[in-house]
Amino acid sequence: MNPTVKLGLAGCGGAFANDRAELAKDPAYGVSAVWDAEPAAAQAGAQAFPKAAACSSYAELLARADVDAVILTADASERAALACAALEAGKHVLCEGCGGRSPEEVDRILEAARANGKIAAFHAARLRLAGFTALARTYATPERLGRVYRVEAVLHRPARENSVPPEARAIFPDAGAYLLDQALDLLGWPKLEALTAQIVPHGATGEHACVYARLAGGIAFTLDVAASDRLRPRHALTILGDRGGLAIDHAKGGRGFSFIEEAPGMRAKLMESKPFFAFDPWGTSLRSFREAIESGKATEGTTPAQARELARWLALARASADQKREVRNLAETLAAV
Amino acid sequence: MTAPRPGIALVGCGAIAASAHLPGIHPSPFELRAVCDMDRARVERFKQDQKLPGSVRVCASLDEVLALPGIDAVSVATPPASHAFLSIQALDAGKHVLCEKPSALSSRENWAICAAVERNPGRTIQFFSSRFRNGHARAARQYVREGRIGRPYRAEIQFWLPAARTCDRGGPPWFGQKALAGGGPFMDMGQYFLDRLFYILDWPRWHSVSAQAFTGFPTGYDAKVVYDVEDHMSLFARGDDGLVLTLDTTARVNQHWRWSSAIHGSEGSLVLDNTAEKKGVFLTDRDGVTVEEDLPVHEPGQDMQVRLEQLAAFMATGAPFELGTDARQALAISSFCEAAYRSASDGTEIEMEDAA
Repeated sequence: MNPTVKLGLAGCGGAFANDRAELAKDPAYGVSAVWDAEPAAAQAGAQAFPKAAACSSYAELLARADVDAVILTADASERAALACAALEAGKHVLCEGCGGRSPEEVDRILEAARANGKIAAFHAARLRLAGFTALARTYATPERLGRVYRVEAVLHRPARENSVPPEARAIFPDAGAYLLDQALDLLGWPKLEALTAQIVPHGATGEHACVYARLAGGIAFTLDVAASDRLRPRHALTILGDRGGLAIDHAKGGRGFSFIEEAPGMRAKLMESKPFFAFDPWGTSLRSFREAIESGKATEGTTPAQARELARWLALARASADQKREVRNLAETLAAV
Repeated sequence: MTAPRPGIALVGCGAIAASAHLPGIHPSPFELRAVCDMDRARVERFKQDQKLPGSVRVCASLDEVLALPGIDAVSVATPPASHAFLSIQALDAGKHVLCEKPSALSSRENWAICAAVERNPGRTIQFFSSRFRNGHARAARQYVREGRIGRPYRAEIQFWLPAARTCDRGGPPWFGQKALAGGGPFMDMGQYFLDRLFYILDWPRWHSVSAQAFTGFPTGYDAKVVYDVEDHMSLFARGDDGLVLTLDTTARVNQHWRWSSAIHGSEGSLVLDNTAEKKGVFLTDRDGVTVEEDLPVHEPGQDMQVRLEQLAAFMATGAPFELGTDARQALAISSFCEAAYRSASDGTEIEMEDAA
């Protein structure tokens, strides 16, 4: 079977390492070319695919006629420019994370897609599309949770697993976007009213970011993302309501999924508990990307409006961390600098 | 001939007086000389139920207590709304004071307590702290002072109990009334966590706080009973040198319990976790590998007996009182809490200078 979509892969870092096996076995896709800013990484990346060539430059990848679409997992600081270049070269683009570090960067990508009649899709839904999120979704209802008032999303992973160079420190834009996307989607994308944040470098390649936000409806939201060898690994999402609370805890040794609700006597009672189980979000994203290319509309995953909202969160968090204060409006915040 | 033991009066005859104050007095250097409550029948019953000796006087006001001979110290176990005026009255009568937390309902009351300490040299007031729970706080402070965690940039407090609200467990209704309690779990157990963290970090200065509070769980009370304190408080505070504190305190939560504090620094982290098997650990990395070591335990405990032993030492020699929260420290905590409540109420960040 000939592949429907011929791909160029831009970026051979952590996201590429996670996804290459899935990509290699999907018959709908064929990888024609691989590029990375580090030539050795591009060579190694190309070896994962039997028919792929390693490109020495991004322009070389874009110039290839056997590349219909680009999957972009390069460093977040480069992504918007690389995405626009690909779209202008007539390629569809699937961007890792929310594509940009600000709403303006996402807008530039979307405008380039419109102007060139190509698809720009975003892959921030790694956690949203996972099986345990589907389980959580069955409980994330007003009937089960009641009024939601507190949400906490945490990912602490070892810095030694951080494959980006020290200057990139990609933990916050990418992992932060995945966690935000998962939580906000379960909550129905409530409006962000204000946030305050701290982002500090940690060790040689790490970073620790903490965002504390006020969401519409009186929801207090914490996003805590770190790549550090000096913290215990954690990976959890907790949503608390006045009728019930759910938690997805999938760190090693974590509790898995649990839902606890109010029981007679105003006591909390464990209603459901399941150990952590594996997931396949990338396959869903790939399928959705292909559908978008074929029909012009994606059915699952991060929408452009959601990517823009995630980028707004990330930009506000950077601005708040830089200015060391709570911020509400991105344009006003940046104008105040 | 042995010197007479110093005398102490217990003011407030509720559950905490029986469970936490009284058991520590008997084995301590102090002799209980009086018990006091506004309700004379209640204090008579307390004396009888607790099988107190006949020599222990029954009083229905602090004035009565202070008029008695042989009272060197007063232990205050009343609702928070009365802490400030009882403490100030006792200090001005030349007594030492041990008082339950929170110290007062406001920073204004705390300023008045500080002023009372200033005008009564040689007298001390110590509010109850829980800084030596599990015995790791001294070691944690030493790690911070020696720079072993590097520059502290983030502290975390997490107190989630599935059913911590006192009124749900048959406790007195004043726990749910802001006018009497000052607030919910943030003003109750939150004080312990803040005190311990600030002690470990050597009382850092806080500049701003963003907070949110939630009230909405059913109380099971009759509709006529006032319940106006928060069930859950969360916050993000900025302090000196880029330090950030995040905190959650709950009275009710539909999730697993958490009872922990952590301090993250540029070189390592300290984790004090009451729910973990290892309750005090230091984490760092060597050559990219995470290393975890147990914190040593070298603390005297934190019950009433230890408080009274420290008070006796202070009275005899002026030895520093390490276990309690002093008036200045209490002021720092109450200013912090006041700013947090204001932030939660206004829905915006509060500069701490404003609050103080």
